[in-house]
Amino acid sequence: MVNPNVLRACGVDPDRYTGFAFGMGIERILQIRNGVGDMRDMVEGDARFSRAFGTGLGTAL
Amino acid sequence: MICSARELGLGEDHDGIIVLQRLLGAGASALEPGQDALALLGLTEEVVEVNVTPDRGYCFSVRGLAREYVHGAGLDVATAFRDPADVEVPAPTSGGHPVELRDEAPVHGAPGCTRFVTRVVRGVDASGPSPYWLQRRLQQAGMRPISLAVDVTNHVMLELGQPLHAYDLATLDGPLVVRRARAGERMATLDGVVRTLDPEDLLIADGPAGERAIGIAGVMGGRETEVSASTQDVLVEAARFDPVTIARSARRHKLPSEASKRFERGVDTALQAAAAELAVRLLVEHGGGTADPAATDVVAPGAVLEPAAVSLPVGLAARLSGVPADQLGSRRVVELLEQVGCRVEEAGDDLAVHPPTWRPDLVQPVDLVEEVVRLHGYEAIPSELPPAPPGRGLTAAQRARRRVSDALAAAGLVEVRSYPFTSAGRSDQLGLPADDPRRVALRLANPLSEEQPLLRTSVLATLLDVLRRNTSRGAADAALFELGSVTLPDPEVVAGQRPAPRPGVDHRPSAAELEALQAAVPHQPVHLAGVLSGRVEREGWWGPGRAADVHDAVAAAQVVAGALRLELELSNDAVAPWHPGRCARLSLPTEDGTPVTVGHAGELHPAVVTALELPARTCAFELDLDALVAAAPDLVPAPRLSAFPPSKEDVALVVESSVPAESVRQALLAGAASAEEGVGAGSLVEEVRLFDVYTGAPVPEGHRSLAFSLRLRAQGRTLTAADAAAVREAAVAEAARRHGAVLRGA
Repeated sequence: MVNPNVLRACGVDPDRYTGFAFGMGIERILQIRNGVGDMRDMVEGDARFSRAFGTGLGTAL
Repeated sequence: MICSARELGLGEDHDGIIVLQRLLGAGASALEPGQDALALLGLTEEVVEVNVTPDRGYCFSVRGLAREYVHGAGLDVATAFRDPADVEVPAPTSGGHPVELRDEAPVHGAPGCTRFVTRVVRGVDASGPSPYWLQRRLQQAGMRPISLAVDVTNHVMLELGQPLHAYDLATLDGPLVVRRARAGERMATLDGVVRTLDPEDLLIADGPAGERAIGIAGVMGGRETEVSASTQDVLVEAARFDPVTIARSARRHKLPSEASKRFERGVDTALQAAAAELAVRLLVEHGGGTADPAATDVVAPGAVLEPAAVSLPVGLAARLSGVPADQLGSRRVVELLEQVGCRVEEAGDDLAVHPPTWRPDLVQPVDLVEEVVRLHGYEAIPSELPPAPPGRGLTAAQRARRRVSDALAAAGLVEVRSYPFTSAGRSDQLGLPADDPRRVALRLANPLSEEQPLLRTSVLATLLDVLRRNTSRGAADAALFELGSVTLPDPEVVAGQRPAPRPGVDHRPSAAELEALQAAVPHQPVHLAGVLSGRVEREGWWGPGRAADVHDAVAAAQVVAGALRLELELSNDAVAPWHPGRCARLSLPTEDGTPVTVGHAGELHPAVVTALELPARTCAFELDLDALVAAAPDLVPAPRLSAFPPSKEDVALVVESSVPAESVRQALLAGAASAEEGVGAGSLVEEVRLFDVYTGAPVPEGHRSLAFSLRLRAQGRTLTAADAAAVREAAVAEAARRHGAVLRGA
């Protein structure tokens, strides 16, 4: 529930509008959806990880 | 020492082996050798770690968590929850240790201390170790056992959420005074640091006229009055301090203590006497001694201990949450609020809700709605997938960037990501000159790692780490690229000459403040960098493999430009981190004729390769992708096709070896274009292509022969031999004029 004071500070009329905030990191979604074993694989840049999601040509260049 | 508590990782004690009689007291008599020690030592107990959000101060205690557990398990609080603070407390008397609450300068108009309770236990052995079970509980909660007095206050704090402090009564001089610090006042805190205080700091003081500061209220006690080995009488303090005052003091002195963590989230206003009583009981039980019958309980004049009633329209919970109104009728809302601990009176269409003393966060109707919906169950909120509005897909720039990524991936490069954090040392490793603008980097206030406090000014600076990681994991051949933003701050902002404004948190920033903030945000264009090492073509039945070289880096950059329907102009350059002789400047032509540089490609300087431990002869490129995307044509003009046959002309030109082939090619193109004006009928040159390079006799020393093929074609007619010869001569003449090229064999 967005606090009406926050809406007011943003110039939104809290009597007319209400807010609901929730979230989930996209990394976590990918981890669950595609079964990523270690979250760090997404940021470490190991080409073997990217290639699995890529074009699949498998050539060097 | 064998099997001391420290050696077993059970505690700090290293004075001898663990003697069970001493550790467990009477319970040790029933033990037999061979029994399982793990359970005995409390090592098999499970510890549940709870991450408490900052709005729920009451959950920083077993008392609050137990209440939440009751909610979570769907039990009734009235029958399933027993309040540990529900103990008999002696009525406040006049003969206790005197306390004065003074506050000449309240923060936010709230008095610094609303309630202050003291109790005294005399003749207590408070400096010795506390019983083993108590030590274990503290350890399980992540705290270190210290002495009985300190452990007891911490234990009660963990149980109830009320921080306590124990003083050596003998060291106190006169009444305890709660007051603000004076400007420039200093005191030594428990951690041995002498701190200069701020007039906003709330202090506990004693001595004549309350002059001696003996603790920063709610944050940390003082050195001079702490419980020591010689302590006989202990004074226990249980107070309720203003959250804002404590939060600011804790941050000002960088002292986030267990106490300040609880005070700044708001401690139950009704808990002080009970917490002091529980601490007194534990001290008497485990340290001997007797409790004074007198109890001091001072409430600040005008302090409101009961939270203000909140008027809640019955239908608000259903209206704000979308839960069907028939599920959240008046009876259900009242029932749920009573589970939270509220007292509810019906007043017409509204409910007058009195929040419990441990919920200072319940001040607005929406706060109550949150609690009602949370306990009722979020699954009752109906969900509806919003329809995707048409015509709002990716922006043109996003589509262009994806096209670039796809093109590079199809060319065999692999997209990776790297952290955008770097260091000044990396600029040295890349061999950037002292005045290189890429050395001007934004420093983070709270970097993830102190070794990498800067935001990158080039993608290559961090992509090279990824290359090294790949090669160290056995990738002999690597072709990687990354799209990412770089941060190019204003040098004046970095140098502190024009610092970004820091607007207060108590009001919405003004339009001028917002504008100044925006102006201080650094330029953050998206760059694209790529690295190539090892082989780009592997050996096989078709023949040997081929190692990556400068041309592959240039070709990859051209793939990027091609995906955006652009053509890059190449010229020689000498820019770090590339090898001066193997570095191409990549530019785009502009309308006024001066090309604008959009990046570089080439082989990395050997010193860079050595400094960063990269594979030898690593090649790389970096492009300002935002500039390329901005220059990409929205609409591709269709070519006009001639159905007439082309005419081919080959020329071999001898030039000095230092003249780049691309420059000669440009001269041929320009010369051919000038001839077309004579011949007329638009562009005749379809292509000028370098197809051979030759050095050695009969070409003179220091020269080379460059062989180009020219492809000519006219719209609407077949070119005559004379036309072709004219174009060819004009082209060669221009190459001769610009670069002193001589037609080979001429």
